[in-house]
Amino acid sequence: MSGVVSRRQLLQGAAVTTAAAASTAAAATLPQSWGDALDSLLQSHFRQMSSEEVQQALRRIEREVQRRYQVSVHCQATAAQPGVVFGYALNLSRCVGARRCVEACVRENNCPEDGHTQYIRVVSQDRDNRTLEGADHYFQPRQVPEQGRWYLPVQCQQCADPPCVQACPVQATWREPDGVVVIDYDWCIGCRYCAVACPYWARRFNWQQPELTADQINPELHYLGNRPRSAGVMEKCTFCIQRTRQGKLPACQEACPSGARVFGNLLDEQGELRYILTHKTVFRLKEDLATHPSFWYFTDP
Amino acid sequence: MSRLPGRITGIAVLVGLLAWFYQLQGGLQLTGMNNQLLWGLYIGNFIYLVGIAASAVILVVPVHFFAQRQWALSAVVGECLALMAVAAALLFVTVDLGRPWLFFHGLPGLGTLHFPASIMSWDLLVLVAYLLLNGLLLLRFLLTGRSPASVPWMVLAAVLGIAIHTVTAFLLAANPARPFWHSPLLAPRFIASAFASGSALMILIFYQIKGAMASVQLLNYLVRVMTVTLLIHFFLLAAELFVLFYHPTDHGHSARLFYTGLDGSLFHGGWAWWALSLQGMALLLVRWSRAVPWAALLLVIGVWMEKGPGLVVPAFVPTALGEVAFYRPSWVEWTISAAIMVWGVSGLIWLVRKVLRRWPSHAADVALVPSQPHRP
Repeated sequence: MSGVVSRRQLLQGAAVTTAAAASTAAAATLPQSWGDALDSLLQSHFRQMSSEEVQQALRRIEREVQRRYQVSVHCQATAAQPGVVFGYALNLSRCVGARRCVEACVRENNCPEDGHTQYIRVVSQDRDNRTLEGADHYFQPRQVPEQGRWYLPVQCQQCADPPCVQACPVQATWREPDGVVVIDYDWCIGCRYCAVACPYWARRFNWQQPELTADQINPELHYLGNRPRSAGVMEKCTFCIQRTRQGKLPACQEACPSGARVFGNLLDEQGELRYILTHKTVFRLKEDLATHPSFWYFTDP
Repeated sequence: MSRLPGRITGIAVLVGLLAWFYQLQGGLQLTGMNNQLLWGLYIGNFIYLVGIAASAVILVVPVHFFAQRQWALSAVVGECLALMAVAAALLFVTVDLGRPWLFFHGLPGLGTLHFPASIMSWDLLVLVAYLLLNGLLLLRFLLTGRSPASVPWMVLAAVLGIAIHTVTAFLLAANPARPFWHSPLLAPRFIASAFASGSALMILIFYQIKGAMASVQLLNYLVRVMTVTLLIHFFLLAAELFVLFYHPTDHGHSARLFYTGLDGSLFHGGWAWWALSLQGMALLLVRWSRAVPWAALLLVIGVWMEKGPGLVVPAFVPTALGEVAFYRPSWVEWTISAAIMVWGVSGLIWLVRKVLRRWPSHAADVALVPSQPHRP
C-alpha cells in the first residue's frame, strides 16, 4: 500500500515538475532542471531583460539553488536607489589585521570556505614599508596587532573609471548607478581579461565548481551579488549589494572588531563618510592610474 | 605517399579533444593557472601565433609595393601560413575560456560585443576578419585558380595583418595594472620580433619546396628581412633594458624578475636568457648560407620563448598587490597546446601541397625570372 502511495506521490511530483517546465516552451518535455539549464544558457543580458524576464530568472535561480543544495532561498534584483552612490573609507590606524572582514565576507557572499575565493586581501606591512612589494599576504601571528606592523585591507575599490569594465569583451560587467561594479554571472564567458586589467587584484575566477554545503548557504540572494556562482565565471566584491540596497551595512563593516571601516552614501552630506572625506587626510590606492576608486584610506593623527 | 603523417595528426587531434573535454568538465583548475597567474601557455601561444599570422605581409609587400610579380604565388604560401596561424590562435583563445559555449555573447547581433571600448573586441573583429579574408582568397585560388595577387584584397589582407599584430599588442599594453606590458614599445617590439620569426618560419617552409617558387632571390630576401628585423628587435630590447635597469623602480619589477630570475619559476631568469641566446646564435649563423635553416629554426624557438609564454607569464609576477606568484603549465595545457600546434602544422602542409598542385598551370600567368642558363 505504502508503495502505491509513494508511487502516486512520485507521479504527482513528476507532473508538477513537468508543468513548471512547460513554462519553457522549448523544454516542455524535458525535466525541469534541463529547462532551467536551457533558460540560463539562452537568457538575455541582465540589462536587456524585461522585468518579467528578470522575475523568471530569479525564480529559476531559486530552483537551481534548492536543487543543488536543498536550501530554500530568496533571490532579489533590487535596483540602485536614486540619490545613492556608495563609498567606503578605511582607517588604517584602527585596522588590527584580525581578518574578521574576510571571514564575514566569505560567509555573506556564498564563497567556498577553501580560501581560494576571498574578495578581501589583508596584507601585513613593516612600519618602514609603504609599497606593496614585500607585503606579507599570509601573516599568521599568534596575536594581532603585532608590534611594528600595519595592515592594509584591499578589496574591490568600485572605481568610477573601472579598467575591468572597459576590458570585458561582452559587457558582462558594468558600473551600476549607485557606483557598484557588478557582474552578470550568466553572461560572463570566462576570458579573465577583467582580472588582468584590475590594478587592485579584486576579481576572482571560479577555476572549478565552487564547493558549498547547505549550512554554508546564505539564503538572502541578489542576482548581481551573492547568488551561488558556477565554474568558469568571474566574481568580485559588490559592497554586499544584497544588503546595502536594503539599507543594511556590508558584512565586512559589521564584522570589523575595531571600527576601522566606514561605509556610506557619498551623496549624504550629513553622513559620517562625508565627514571623514572632508576632515581627514585621505588617499586612494594607486591614484596615479586614474581609476578614481570609491574607496578611501585614512589614518588618525 | 605515406599515410603515417595523417594518422599522427588524427591521433594528436583526438588526444587534444579528449584533453579539452577533460578540462571543460573539471574546470580550468586542471591548468597551472590560478587567481594570481591568470593567463599562461594558451594565451602565450595565441600571442605568438598572431605574430606569425601577420608575417604573410612580408611577402605581400614586395609583390604589391615593389612590383616583384614573380613572387606572387610564393605569397600564396604565405597566405596559407597566415590562415593556419590565425585559426590556431583562435583555438588557443577558445580553450582558454571558462565557458566557451557562450562565445555567441561576443557575436554582433546575437550578443553584446563591447565595441569599441574593449580592446579584446577589436582583436576578435580583426582576427576573424583576417581569418575569413585569407580563407576566402585561398579558397578562390584553389577553386578557380585565380591568383589572389591580382586582387586589391591582398592589400587589405596586408593591412589587416599589421592590424592584428598591433591590436594584440595593444590588448596587453592597454593595462596600467600590468607594468610589464604597459609600454609604448610593446607594439613595435612585438612586430619586429614577429617579422623575424615569421620570415624564419617561411625560410624553413621554402627550403622544403623545390622549384621556381622558392627562388634564391626569394630566400635571400627573407634572410635579409629576418636579419634586419632581428637587429631592430635587439635595439628596441636594449632601449627597454636601459630604462629598466638604469634607475630601477617598482614599475619595472616584473621585467627585472623576468631577466634576472626568480628561484623556482620555469619562466624567469634562464628562460629569457635562453630565448635571447638562441636569437643571438641565429644572428651569428645567418652569415653562412648553409647554416641559414638552422638560424631560422633557432630564431623560431627563441622568439616563441620570448613572445609566447615569456611575454605573458612575467606580467603577473609580482601580482597587482606585489605578491610573487608561480606558474607551471599542467600536462593538460601541454597536451592541448601540442595538439593545436600539430593540427596547425598539418593543416599548413596540406594547404601548401594543394597550392603547389595548382602551381604548374599558372606558370604562364606569372612573369618568372629565368634562372641563369648553364654555359659550358
